[in-house]
Amino acid sequence: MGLSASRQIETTAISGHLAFPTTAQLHHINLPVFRQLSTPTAVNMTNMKLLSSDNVEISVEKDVAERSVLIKNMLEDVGETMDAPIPIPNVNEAVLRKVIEWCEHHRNDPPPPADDDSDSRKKSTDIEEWDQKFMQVDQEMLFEIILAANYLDIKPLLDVGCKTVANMIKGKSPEEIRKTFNIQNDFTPEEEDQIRRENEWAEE
Amino acid sequence: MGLAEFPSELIVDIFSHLDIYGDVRRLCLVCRRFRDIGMPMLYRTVILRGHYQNGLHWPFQIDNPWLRYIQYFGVEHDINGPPSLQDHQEGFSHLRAPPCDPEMIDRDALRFLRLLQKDQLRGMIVCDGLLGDEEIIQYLNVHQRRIRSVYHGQHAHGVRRTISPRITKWMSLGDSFPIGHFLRIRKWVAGGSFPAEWR
Repeated sequence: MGLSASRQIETTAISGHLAFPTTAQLHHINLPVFRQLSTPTAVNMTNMKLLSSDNVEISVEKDVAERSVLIKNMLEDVGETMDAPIPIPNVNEAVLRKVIEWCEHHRNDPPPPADDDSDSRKKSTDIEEWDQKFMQVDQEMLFEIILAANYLDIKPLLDVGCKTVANMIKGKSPEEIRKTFNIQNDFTPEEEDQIRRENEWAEE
Repeated sequence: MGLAEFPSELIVDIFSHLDIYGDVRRLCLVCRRFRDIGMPMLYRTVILRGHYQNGLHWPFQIDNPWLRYIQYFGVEHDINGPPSLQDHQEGFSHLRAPPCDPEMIDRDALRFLRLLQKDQLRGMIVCDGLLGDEEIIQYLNVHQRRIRSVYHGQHAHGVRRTISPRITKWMSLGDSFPIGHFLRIRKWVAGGSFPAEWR
């Protein structure tokens, strides 16, 4: 569904350019004074390209890509026009497409509250339905999404990912957690015993 | 990359989404890496419980390496306070016992505070447990000068707790907040989680 919505918007963007040929012409004339005249819509619908770690070019609308603070800052540093694809060396094509899918669905989300001590963010492990479905992927993909969201600086996506993992931990015994995430028990029996003693007051 | 190989800040992020003590406690028993990240979280806020008849419920060994991670410290002795592990084990029958001697609580609290490192505390949680005798106030003024927030606890049933005047006077040194607004403070408390209405 996210895909068809984006196609629709692309079409609108193209017809928008056709309807306002002067704007398009102004873009060719590279004078700052003229660039300011271009309508905000025309700027937002601009497409740009990302280059995944496995060298695949992915076209994405600028305002979708700008859900990533990393990309947003990069674009601000470079200036408005950027024809060359932006390399995303840490994220492969499959993961990058998944991340873009999330960004497209959440393109119109209001910005998160600015306060640093955002307790509300951590308050619960509730995840909205669309995000829950989005996160129904194998563990490797889930971790890749979290790492990509962290690298690309997409806080709300990082949050959803972390909450999903937290939900997988809830109520499980240490052994069950090890099994779920394939983690080796590297404690000596003495260490394990000591940890039990040191936090035995911490009981529900 | 497996979860155990994640960068530490991401593991902290994941752990901090867990509201229940037991979940973090069990995580600490999974592997060394999780222990080193989870234990400081469990020790971030410690409230010693004094409603056990024998004085403060003090479950810590002196040489406990995690004590240095305590940032918020409090004491309470209300007989109706949040249940501790002992309460659960003993079936709550002792809760009708008279509260323990307040001076004993101050003495125990000071003994505990002296295990902490200089200027390690960031906040105090003032419930009705602490009288705040001169020695405690002096200790706080000399050894814990980085306390910036004082949280006053509320009774589990919404009744305001009575706070010792000496503590109230000391509280005026910093900002004071009702504890109800501070999720992180309420989240990790020695002895048990708070009743549902505090969450």
